[in-house]
Amino acid sequence: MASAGSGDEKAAAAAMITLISSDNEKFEVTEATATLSQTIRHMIEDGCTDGGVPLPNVTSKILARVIEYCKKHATAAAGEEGSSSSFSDAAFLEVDRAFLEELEEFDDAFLEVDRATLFDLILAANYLDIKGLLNLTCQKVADSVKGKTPEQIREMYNIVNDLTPEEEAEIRRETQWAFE
Amino acid sequence: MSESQVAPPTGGGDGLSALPDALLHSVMSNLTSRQAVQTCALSRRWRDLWRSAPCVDIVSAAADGEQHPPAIRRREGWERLESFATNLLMCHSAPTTALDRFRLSLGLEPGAIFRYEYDADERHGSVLGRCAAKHVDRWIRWGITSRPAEISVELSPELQIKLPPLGPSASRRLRTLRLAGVRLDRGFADSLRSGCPVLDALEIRNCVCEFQEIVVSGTLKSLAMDCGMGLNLEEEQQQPRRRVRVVAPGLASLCLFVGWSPYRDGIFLDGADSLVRASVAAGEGCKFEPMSTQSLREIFAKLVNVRALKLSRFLEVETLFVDDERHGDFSKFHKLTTLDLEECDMNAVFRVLPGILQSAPCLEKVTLQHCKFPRGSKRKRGPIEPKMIAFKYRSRLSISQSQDLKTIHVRCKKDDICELIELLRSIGRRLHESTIIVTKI
Repeated sequence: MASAGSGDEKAAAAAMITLISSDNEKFEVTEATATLSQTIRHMIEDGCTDGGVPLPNVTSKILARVIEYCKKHATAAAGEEGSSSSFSDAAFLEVDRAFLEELEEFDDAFLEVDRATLFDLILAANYLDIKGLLNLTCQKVADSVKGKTPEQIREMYNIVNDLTPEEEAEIRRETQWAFE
Repeated sequence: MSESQVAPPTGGGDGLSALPDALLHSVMSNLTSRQAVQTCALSRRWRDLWRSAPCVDIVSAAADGEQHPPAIRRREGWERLESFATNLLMCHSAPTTALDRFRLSLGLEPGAIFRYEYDADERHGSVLGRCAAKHVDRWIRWGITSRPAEISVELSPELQIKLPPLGPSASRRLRTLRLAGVRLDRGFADSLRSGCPVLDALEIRNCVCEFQEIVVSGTLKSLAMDCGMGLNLEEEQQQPRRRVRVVAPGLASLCLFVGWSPYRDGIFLDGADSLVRASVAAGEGCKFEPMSTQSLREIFAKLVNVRALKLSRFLEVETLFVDDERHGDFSKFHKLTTLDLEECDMNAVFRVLPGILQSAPCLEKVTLQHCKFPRGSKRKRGPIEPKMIAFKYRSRLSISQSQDLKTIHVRCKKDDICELIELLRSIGRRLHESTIIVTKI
């Protein structure tokens, strides 16, 4: 927090926010981009973003990716303002189909990361409270385990099975209804 | 600067298990309940996580991504599902903790289910069918008492399940309600009126609708209604003509299926000023009976503030828009910017299109998709040659075609509407599979 700089400065830069990663790297972003994060939105509303927003839980490497996501989706959010993104809207996809397709492509490419980065993104999305990014990343993990046996999942994520054979047998017995 | 001085905690060996419970629950929310429960065998960390998962998703085996699932309609499939659901709901920690989502989706395969295909012995099958209905009813009640933010129930109408009352305390958090294949009576209307203070989206599909009104709080933004499928047409003809009143003061998006409807006297929208998008679908062979043209016209008259309008499967648009006395004088879409026509009969559309274009001064984009064009002369069918067309109209219209040849963009000036229609006519008969987008410049 001490490294955040002088808080007295009246930052009047045209709606730009400075985000500071855990390794002290500074990122200048527009308010529209930053406010995709509910956490930052609340800080802006409370007027405590002068001198930058320290994000001690997010490394510069991850923050750069998060900002990349927010930049792309901020434009989408602006278009959706006032309308709920619920099922009926599917009928109107034609309206911005091209844009939505582009967004989907972006998301797919965005998720092409190694596992460790994916988990870091999940943690960052949670900490910064970015609902769309949290959904996207959790969905990616969920998709990877769909239709897999526990053994396959363990192998995929290097999960150490610390259950004794007896315990495992007991669990299987208790939850047989989910495995049959 | 060097990489991470504050290294993320990776205790427990693997990154996935190191995530806090809430985030592993978020991952589970993207799985069906069967898949979520199966994670219990991974390790100690995972053993009991599923019990407090915020989403309960009971779906038929096919939706669970299984390769060769036994159909629910077969005894084997049903018993497996019944065992799963009963055990799951018994062991899950909700309703003590409120859920994010409760979903029950048993498929909507048409035809006889449970009672008829259950067993060769029909009497036995019928007993089991009743028993199945009782179970399903109990599951839905369990879901409602878990105070979920989203309820999604998709059943086969043959089960004849009536939606249990939502109850004011149970529906206090309810934001999304999707119902398919259930029976909705007056009690449903009462639930909506007296409870559901934060309801945001309501979808009613293939339901047997016996209610006469939908009165919801101003929070409802989107409404989709299709009351046609669960309908026994012969029985319905004996019923008195009914109409349904919809009071949704904050509604922004409306989807209606008007082909077959128990509400032959229409849907009365009470104050729809807030609507910005509307989609109206008629059915195959629909001549605006049972819902009358008059009723439909009333609906359209309410869409004055709509910015996007989509008409699907309209085969008789003409009767809708062209009034005998006041020819072509229909509602004014003074804010309409986007018009989509899907699977419409262009024969009829062409006659009303100039009228629509003229009474919608802000219209910027018209999209035609899979529309039926009038049969042309015996001119040979073949790939469209946009260059040829562009040559003919190049002074006024700009035409381009997407690379996959599926989409044609036409850009035109406002005064060129007549020419545009002539153009569509001439190219339309070879365009059955194409999408035409017309943009005003």
